[in-house]
Amino acid sequence: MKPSDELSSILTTSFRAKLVSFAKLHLEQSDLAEDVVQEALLIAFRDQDAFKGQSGIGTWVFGILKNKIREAIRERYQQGIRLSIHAPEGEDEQLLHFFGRFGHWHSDQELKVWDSPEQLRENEEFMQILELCMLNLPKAQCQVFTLREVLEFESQEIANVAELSAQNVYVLLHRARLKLRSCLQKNWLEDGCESC
Amino acid sequence: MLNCHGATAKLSKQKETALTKSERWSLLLHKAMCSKCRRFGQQIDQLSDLARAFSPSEEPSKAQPPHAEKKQNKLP
Repeated sequence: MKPSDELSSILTTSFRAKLVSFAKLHLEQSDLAEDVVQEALLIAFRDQDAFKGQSGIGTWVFGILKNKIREAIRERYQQGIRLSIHAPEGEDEQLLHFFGRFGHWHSDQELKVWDSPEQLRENEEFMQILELCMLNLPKAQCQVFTLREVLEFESQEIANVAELSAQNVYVLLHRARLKLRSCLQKNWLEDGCESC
Repeated sequence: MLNCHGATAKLSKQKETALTKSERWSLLLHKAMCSKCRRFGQQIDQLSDLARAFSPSEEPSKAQPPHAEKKQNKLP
């Protein structure tokens, strides 16, 4: 398939909708999210000769979109527009699943050994579970985690663009990481091994 | 004494900023005794690697009927 056909084909699937909803996580107004995706796709069509095929075409397009979202967030920050991310309030009751009264891991919380990220990255099913687990985090945790780990903002910059304290960013990241690793283990290792 | 909830918070914070000397010591002590927190520390580094490589799956969501895509292509 030629890159242009491949590009057209991913636009007819739910992939485009996924790009828009990822952009919306960070750029709340839907028209802005649509614009950013549109721009990324135009760049992809324009620069398709630069696509070398070492990664999937979707990954390539998503990389362009990540840049566009980063730029939009920084531009809006310059204009005085902040990201709207709710600061954590009080305790997160979901963490009671992980830790007992004295703050130690519950005995049923086994932390199993994972395959290396290099192996897991190549595993399509695992990456789909990562997508589900990550995007199903509570909204503020999902926003901060994806800003930090997918869009690769430093946490101090996240605090600035969202007008949160650094401490709030640390708390949201800690909660997101706890839940994400637990979700991956439950849905990948534990379900996965029933059939192995 | 640092418990596991606190230790995982420090492990996560350590990826964001430098810990104070006393935070580092209490975390080191805790990790020496706690294999689960040691593993948590490894897994959150793995999570960073995986999230950096993340891209939404090009597959239509599994709930969609298998032929939905072909029908869409027939539209003008």
